[in-house]
Amino acid sequence: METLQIAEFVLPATRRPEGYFEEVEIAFEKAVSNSADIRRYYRLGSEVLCLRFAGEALLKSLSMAFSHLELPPCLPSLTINCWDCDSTDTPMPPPPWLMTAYGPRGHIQGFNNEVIRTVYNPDNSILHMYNNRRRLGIYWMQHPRILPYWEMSFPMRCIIHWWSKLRPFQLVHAGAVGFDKGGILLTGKSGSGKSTTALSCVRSGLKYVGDDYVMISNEPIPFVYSLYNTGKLVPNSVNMLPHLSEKISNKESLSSEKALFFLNEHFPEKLSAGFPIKAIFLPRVTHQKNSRIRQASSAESLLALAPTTVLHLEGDGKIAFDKMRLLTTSVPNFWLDLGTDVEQIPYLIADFLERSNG
Amino acid sequence: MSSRYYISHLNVIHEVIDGEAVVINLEHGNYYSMNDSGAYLWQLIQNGFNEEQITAIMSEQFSISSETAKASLKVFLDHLLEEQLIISVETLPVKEQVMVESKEMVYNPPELTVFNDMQELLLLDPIHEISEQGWPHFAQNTLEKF
Repeated sequence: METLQIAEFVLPATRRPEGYFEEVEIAFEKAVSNSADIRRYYRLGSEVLCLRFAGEALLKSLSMAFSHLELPPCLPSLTINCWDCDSTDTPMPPPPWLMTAYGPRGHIQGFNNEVIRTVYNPDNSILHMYNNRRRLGIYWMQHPRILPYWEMSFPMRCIIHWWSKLRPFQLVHAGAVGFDKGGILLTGKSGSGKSTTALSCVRSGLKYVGDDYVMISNEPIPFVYSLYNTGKLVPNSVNMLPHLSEKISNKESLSSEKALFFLNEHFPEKLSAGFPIKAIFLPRVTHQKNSRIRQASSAESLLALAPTTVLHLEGDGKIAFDKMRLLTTSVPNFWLDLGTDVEQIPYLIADFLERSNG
Repeated sequence: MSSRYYISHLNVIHEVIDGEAVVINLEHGNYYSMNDSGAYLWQLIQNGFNEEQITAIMSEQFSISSETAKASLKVFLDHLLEEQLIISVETLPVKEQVMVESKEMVYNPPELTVFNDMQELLLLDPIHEISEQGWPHFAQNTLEKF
């Protein structure tokens, strides 16, 4: 009988995800030797993040959002190598994938497997890679430049998301405010009022954990950790919180950007690294004067939290969904109907938490 | 042979909590809720019951005629198929069909509510130009995604 011989087709190592990752890593080390090896350490949940920079070009724009969590040098559980070609005079290995490999959200087909994750972000032309065996990330761009304001507000979120897959943490699209004994998670899609609610609390006795992306854990108790000390507001919301108008970092660009705040520059005493989650609040804008809290179901909470989280972040949707399902069924859930008198909001939340915290 | 369906597990993540369903289609970015009877039928589909069996269960559970049950089930299934949440199969290994516990509910025709406000996140940005080094720059199709 005639046997059909099928030639085995083997890609060269650099055209495979692991091989390309190693090639990029070697290029990063060259960039470091051409410039400087700068390391900064930050709290990441109950673990440690190390941002390693080749030179100073990206240092400020990428580290400002994490500055409230800075630690002295220590053993990291996630390291991210950040660099650019132009300031370090170091070439980047060209992309080994075809032009047809670019998918939604920058997903690179053929370069995402159980070990390696790859996204080339179409919003800002930044390459994100992650090797989960080595807990090592790569964050690369061709030219050093002022990053888009949203990237400065939550840098490296997809690498942190991939890292959290095998850990008890989960990055979620939510904010959080509260007291050291406990606080609330604020969730909903963009425009629901998360940021207005969180930033309205900055002048109150409540502490601020974040307004857009925070990290949650279900073990041993529901807990929220701060990642970024930033806040973003649409112009109309800035008008409602006039005391923040002097703190805007991108005043010259407000015709096309949201107002961006770095709270560690102005309100460091108001920031918290995290606290237990006592409840999930689902803000939504009403045209009533007064704000009010009313019961929501776990499913309503999951519907507000999960789609906006898993559809913004690339990969691992099922695992993220399960972590969020567990959270929404472990704590009480409430609608927060936001009135036009924003001064009421922190009092309403503080009153709720004082009763919950006992 | 009565049609049997299974949930597209590759692209669909879902949960029913206290009789309320939350479903996300990761492929095209829509997400969904269902009314009480819709969430109940979703669980019957998940548990491997075929169209004929679900019709009989609906008729008994909600005290409605078999014709009414069959017609409203067909509308619901067509909607789930249209949204690519389920797949119709002729043959499927029959798993143990665990009956779904239901809470007291007044019958309303099963409904799927579709939220499509995040679809644009999964649109492909067209490549605008390619650098000498081979890295593309994309023409932005959205000003503000965040």
